[in-house]
Amino acid sequence: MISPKYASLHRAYETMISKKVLFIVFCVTIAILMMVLSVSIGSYKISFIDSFKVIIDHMLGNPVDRQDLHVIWNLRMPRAIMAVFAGAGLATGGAVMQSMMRNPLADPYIMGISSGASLGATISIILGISLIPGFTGDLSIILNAFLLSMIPVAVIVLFTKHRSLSPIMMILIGLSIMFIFGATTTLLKLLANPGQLAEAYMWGIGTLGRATWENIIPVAVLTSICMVLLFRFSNSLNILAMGDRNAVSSGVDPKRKRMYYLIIVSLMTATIVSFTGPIGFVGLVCPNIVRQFIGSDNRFLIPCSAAFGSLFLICADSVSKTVSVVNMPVGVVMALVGGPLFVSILLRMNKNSWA
Amino acid sequence: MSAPDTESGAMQIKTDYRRYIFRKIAFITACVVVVVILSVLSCAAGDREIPFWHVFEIIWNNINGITYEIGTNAWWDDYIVCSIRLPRIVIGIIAGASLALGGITMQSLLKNPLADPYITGISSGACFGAVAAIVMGMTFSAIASDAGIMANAFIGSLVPALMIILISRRVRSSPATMVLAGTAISYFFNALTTLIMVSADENKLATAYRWQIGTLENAVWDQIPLMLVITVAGMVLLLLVSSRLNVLSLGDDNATSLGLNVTRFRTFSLILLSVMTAAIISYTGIIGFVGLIAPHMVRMIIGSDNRYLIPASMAFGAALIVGTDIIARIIVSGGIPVGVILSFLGGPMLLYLILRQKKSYGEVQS
Repeated sequence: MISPKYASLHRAYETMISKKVLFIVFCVTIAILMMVLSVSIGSYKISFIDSFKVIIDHMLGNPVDRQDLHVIWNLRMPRAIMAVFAGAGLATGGAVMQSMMRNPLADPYIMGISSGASLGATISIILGISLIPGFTGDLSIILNAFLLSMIPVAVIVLFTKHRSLSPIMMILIGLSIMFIFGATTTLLKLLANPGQLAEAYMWGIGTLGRATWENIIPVAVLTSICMVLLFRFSNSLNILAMGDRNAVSSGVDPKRKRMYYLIIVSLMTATIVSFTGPIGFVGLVCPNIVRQFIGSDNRFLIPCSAAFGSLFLICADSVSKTVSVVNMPVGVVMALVGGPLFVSILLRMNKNSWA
Repeated sequence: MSAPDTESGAMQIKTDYRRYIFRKIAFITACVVVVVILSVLSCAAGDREIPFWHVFEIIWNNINGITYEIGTNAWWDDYIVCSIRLPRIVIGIIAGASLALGGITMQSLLKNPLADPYITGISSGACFGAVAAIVMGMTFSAIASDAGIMANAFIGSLVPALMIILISRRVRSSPATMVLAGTAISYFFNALTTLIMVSADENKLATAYRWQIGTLENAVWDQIPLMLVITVAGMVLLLLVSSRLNVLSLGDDNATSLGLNVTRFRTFSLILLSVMTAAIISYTGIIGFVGLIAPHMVRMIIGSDNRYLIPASMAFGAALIVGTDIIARIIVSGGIPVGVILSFLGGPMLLYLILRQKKSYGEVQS
C-alpha cells in the first residue's frame, strides 16, 4: 500500500515507465512491419500483398509459383530474419559495452572483433586454410571468422590475470589488436590473385546477402540466449554505469562482472559477424539514439536498442537492395548513414551526459 | 653553504647541462647519419645489386651530367639508382619527416599521447579524397591532375580535422574518446573508399588496393617538387609556432591567460597538418603509425624537450620509412608495401603505450 503522500510521485514514475514501454512497443511494431515490407523489396518485382500471400500459402502447403517461392522464401525471408537478429545483437552489444565501459563510443565492433572476423575469412579465402581441420568452403570461412574474432577478448582476459585493467585500457587493447589484425589481413590480400582479392574484399564489407535458412539458426539461437542473459543483468549493468567505486559499495565486483559481460557480448557479436561480415555503426549509433528518447536505464535501453537495431539494419538492407545500380552492400549503407549520425551524436555529447 | 661550494655546484650543473644537451644533439646527428646510410643502402640493394661505395659515384656522375650509352651496364646502374631508387628514397624521407612531425604536433595540440594523423582518421579522409579523384575522375575542385588529386585529398582530410576540432572544443574528451572517434571516422571513410574501389573492376582493384595501403612503389621525380614545397613550408610554419605548442601544454586555461587564442591556434595547426598529410597521402597512400612510433621512441631516448624532440623525431621518422622500405623491398620477396610493415610495428607499439601507463588515460577527465 502506497501512502497518499507518495501517490503522485508513484503516478509520475508509472507514467515514465509506461512511456518507455510504449516506445519499446512502438519500435518493435515498426521493426516487424519493416521486416514484412522488406520481403517485397528487391530487384525481382513482386507486390507487398503478393509476397505476403506467397509466404502464407507456402506455410499452409498450398502450391505457389516456383520462382516467387524461391525469391521470397529462400532468398528474402532468411535475409530479413538475419537482419533482425544481427541488428538486435549488434545494438544490444553496443548498449551493454557503453554502459559497462562508461563510454558512449564503446562498441564491440571496434574492439577488434570485426577485424578478427575479416582476418579469419581472409585466411580461409586466400590461403584455403581452415583453423579447425576438416571443413571447407563457406563453413571454414565462418568458423575461422568466429575463432579469430574471439581473440581480442581472450587477450584481454589474459591481461586481466596479471594486472587490473581499466575499461578504457580494455578498449584500447582491443583497438591495437584490431590494427595488428588489419595489417595481417592486408598482407594476405597482397598475396591473393585478383579474383580472391575481390572475394575477400567483398567479405570485408559486410552483407546480409549470404543468409540462408541453415545459417540463420546458429545466429538466432546464440543471439537470443545472449540477449536474454544480458537483459537479465541489466540491473548490475546500471550499477556498473555508476562507476567502479559505487559498484563496489553496492556489492558488485566491477572487474569480474565486466569480464563476464565482455565475454558474452563478444560471443554474440562474433557469431553475428562471422556470418554477415563486419557491419559497423549499428552498435555505436542505435543505443545512442535510443538513449535520447528513453534515457540510460539498461532495463529499457537493452530491449529498446535491440528493437531499434533490427529496425535500423532492415531499413539499411532495404536501401541496399533498392540501390542496385551500384553494388552497395549493407555495410556501406550503414557506414553512409551511421557516419553522419555518429558525428551528430558526438557533437551533442556534453560533459555532463557521461560521468 | 660557502661560496666556493655554490660555485663548484653551479659548475657541476653547467657541465651536466652541457652533457645533457650534447647527448641530445648527438642523438639527432646519429639519426641523420642513419638516414644517410640507410638511403645509400637502399640505393645499393635490390634485384640489381650495386656496391655500396659505387652508389656515391653514380649519383655524383649523374649530377655532373655524365650520360651513358643506352643499354650498357653503366647506363642501367645510373637508370636504376637515379630514376627508380632515388626518388623512392627521397619521398620516403619527406614522408617520414612530415608524418612524424604531424604526429608530434597532434600529440601536443590535443594533449593526447595516442594522437597521430592516421589514428585520428585524417589519413583516411585524405585517402578517400585521393581515391575518388583517381578512380572516378571526380574532383571536388577544378584543379587538374596531381594538384587536383592533392586538393581532393586535402578536402577529404578536412572533414576529420574539423571533427577533431569540434570534439576538442565541445567535450573535454579523454584521449581514448578521441581515438574511438577517430577510428569510427576512419571506418566511415574506408567504407566510402571501398565502395568506390568495389565499383572499379577487379584488376583495377588490385592496383588501387596496393596503393591504398601505403607504398613508395610508384615514386617518380615529378611528384617530389610539389610535395617537398608543401612539406617544407608546413614544417617551417610549425617550427615557428612550436613555442606556442609548449604554452598549450600548460593546459587550455593557462594558455589562454598567457594570451594564446587556443581555439584559433588549434584550428590553424590542424588545418596546416591536414594540408601536409594530404600532400604525402596523395602520393604514397595511407602510411600509418609513423607519427606514433617515431615521437614515442625518440621520447624514450632523449626526453620530451620539444626543441630537440621535433628534429629528432623527424630524422627518426625518415629513417623509419627508409628502413622499413628496405625490408619491404628486399627481405620479403615480391615486395610488400611499407604501410603493412609499419602497421605491424605500430599495433604492438600502441599496445605498449597503453600498458605502460600506470594511470589509465581512461576515466573521462572532468
